[in-house]
Amino acid sequence: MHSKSANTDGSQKLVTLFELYKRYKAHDSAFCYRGAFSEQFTGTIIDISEGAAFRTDGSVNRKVSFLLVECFQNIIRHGENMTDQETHLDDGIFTFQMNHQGFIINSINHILNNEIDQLKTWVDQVNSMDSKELKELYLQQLNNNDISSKGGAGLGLIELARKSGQKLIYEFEEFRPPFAKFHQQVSFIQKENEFDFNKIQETKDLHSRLSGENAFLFYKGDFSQKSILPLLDIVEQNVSGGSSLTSMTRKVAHILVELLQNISKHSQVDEKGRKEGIFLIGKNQNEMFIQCGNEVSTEEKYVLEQNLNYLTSLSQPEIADLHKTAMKASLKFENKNKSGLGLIEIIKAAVKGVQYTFEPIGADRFIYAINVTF
Amino acid sequence: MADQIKLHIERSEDTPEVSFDASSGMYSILGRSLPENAYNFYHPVIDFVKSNIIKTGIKNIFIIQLDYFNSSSGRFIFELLTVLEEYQLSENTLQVIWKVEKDDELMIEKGEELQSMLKIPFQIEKT
Repeated sequence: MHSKSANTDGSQKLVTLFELYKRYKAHDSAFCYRGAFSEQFTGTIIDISEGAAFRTDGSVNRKVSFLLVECFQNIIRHGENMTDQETHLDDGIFTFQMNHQGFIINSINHILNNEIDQLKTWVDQVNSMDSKELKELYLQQLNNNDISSKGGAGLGLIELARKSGQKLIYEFEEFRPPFAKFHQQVSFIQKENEFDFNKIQETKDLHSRLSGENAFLFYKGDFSQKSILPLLDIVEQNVSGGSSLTSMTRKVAHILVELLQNISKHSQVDEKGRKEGIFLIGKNQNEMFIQCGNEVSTEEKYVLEQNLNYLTSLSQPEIADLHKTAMKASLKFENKNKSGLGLIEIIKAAVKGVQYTFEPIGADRFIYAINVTF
Repeated sequence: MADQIKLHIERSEDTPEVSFDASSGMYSILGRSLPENAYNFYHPVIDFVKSNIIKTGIKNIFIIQLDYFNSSSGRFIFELLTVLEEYQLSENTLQVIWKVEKDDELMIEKGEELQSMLKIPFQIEKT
């Protein structure tokens, strides 16, 4: 029954979403995936990054794509897959953030303790070189037959350093023997800046935050259709475990599409034509949750709040009836693309609870956030 | 022989494959449907049916097999089916088959909802 599980005060449930919102408010785009890394995700991650406003200049675009692919594939090639299918506690993380100054890619993955020395020596050597020396090392490595057992020949790190034009930032952290955690940051900063952009600690915090919530994907940025589709793909692949669509995957996709398109429809279009929003998805044993947020005006808040208060007061049979009535009514609407069914679908599908809240963020502006469990 | 009257729309990443053949009475919609602008996609599909469906001497079979769809697509799928209802076709001239996987609760529920709202031969086929 919705009336029992619904809670209009979602501020407690949505605390992580708000924290992430505040942290990445000034960013064009932020993305974080926690889980098993699969080669299939490479293209999807590129697609997601393309929603960032930062990506306008052709040559910068190519560099961004190159660095993302190289970083991601390095983890797949060299990382030890520690994912425990039951607990997911040991999942690695891949995250990127972009703002007007540049973009930063952080990752945490597992390696074997006995690989640390060699990797450290290699990164330090790469970091000590200027661009001319890096090029020489690159050519030398190309002709070197000593390819590591996992492939790659150490070329990946040289390329990351060359293309980013920045030192690689890294850290090793003790973990359950024989494994260690490898933290890596690749940065591409367009303008010289003085502040410390080392995000290793921030990434650790993000990792524990998402682990604590059992969230596996977080995204802040553009929510137009071209950004929604790759997000949907990555969620589908994660939930179905790479096999064909399961019943659960379809359910997740159904609710996710509705929630994300709801952001797309209702969020403010910024000066760059982007529709801003934030979302987080996770799973706890037999249930899943999705959290979304976007900015609304006082007037929009009023309408939404009335709707949500009403919808969450209904029982399942009542909401099923309302859905039918609304379907029939929508055929008569003049605006063919405004069915009014979206929110009803969301509340109808949220069989294990809905929470929502409106946090003021300035004159006449609120963040509308909703948590849906099913 | 009557001219073949067909509509074919390839599947895209957010719209289903539509394959309609009015002359043979075979109509199918397959895939997932989540376009931003569902009207633009479904308007020609519904118009095709209105203009071309053969109402006598032929059995029209509509196969709808969707992984999932957004609410605005749902609205137009419902509209398409109400168009068929308006023609008051009998079981001899119309059959709608809503194809789902047997454990797909969501699509079964969607099919049952449509079935309860329409007075047309509407069969939910679980495979």
